[in-house]
Amino acid sequence: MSDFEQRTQQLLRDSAEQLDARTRSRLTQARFTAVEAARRRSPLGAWRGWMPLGGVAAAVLAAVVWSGGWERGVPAIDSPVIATDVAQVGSPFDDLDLIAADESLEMMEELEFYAWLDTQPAVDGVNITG
Amino acid sequence: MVAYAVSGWSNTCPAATTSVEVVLDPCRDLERFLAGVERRAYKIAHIALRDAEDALDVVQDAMLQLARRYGGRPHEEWQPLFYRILRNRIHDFQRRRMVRNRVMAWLPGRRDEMETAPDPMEAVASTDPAPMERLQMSETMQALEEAVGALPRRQQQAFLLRNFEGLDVAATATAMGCSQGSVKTHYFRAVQVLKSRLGEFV
Repeated sequence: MSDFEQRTQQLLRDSAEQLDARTRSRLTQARFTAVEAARRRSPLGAWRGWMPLGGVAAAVLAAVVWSGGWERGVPAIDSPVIATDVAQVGSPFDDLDLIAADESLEMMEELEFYAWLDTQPAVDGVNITG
Repeated sequence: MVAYAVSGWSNTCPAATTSVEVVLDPCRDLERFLAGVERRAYKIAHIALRDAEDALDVVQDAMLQLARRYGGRPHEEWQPLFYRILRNRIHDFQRRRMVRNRVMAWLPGRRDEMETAPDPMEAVASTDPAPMERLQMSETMQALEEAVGALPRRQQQAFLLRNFEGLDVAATATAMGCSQGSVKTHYFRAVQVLKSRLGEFV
């Protein structure tokens, strides 16, 4: 590079370093905007965007579990609640069991009747439930 | 700095720095790159467009495009890509301005007096106790910028990218979208013209 080229290079670079504060500030803003745009496109950035929502969901789940919301319908061992009440207000897991079971739902709904019937003696030698 | 090991990261903000560690926020490399070129990019745009606002708009557009489209490319490709985007945006602005001026020339009474009237602040004596050297330096810079701004477009690009930005011939050719031979020719002619015009200044 000749002397002339070196001098012009130095002059131009000095000129770039002496930009006024307003221009420098605008350039910084433009840079931040561009970097933010790149960050939003990256997978890490996308995860960051969903993080607050995930945090809220986790907090709600933790609160439900901690307050025992899913255990509300299950009575204590010495509770006077009868079996049919348990079936009516059972936990979501109980509902899942019912749905998944092969037995007829009608029989499950009349469980009390069948329990009573089972205690009755057979008529004319025939076991009703059998 | 907090760092963790990640493999297979190949997105907008690429993994960087060392072979073992990847910085937690890989966009920092992009930010560092943009911070390193933004002032020179602004000067190039300003010399070509001769308008501060247009120059800022063009640089911002170029930064955004680089970040969105090419942020995931290897770092060594960023510089020629950025200047290629900048060159295209400057060219777009120049063409748009040319069309606008043609349209405005057909409209009667559209001359804006504010554009032609002298700025009254320029007549006020400066209170800056700058030494004579600084004044001379400023005048030399202004003369240089005007001379570079008056160069034909391709010569101006070749000179600013090679001389001011310091790109090598290959990177300049990528940025300008032409052959390395063309870059050498444009640059040689630009230097000859500037020497003849600025001999006593520089």
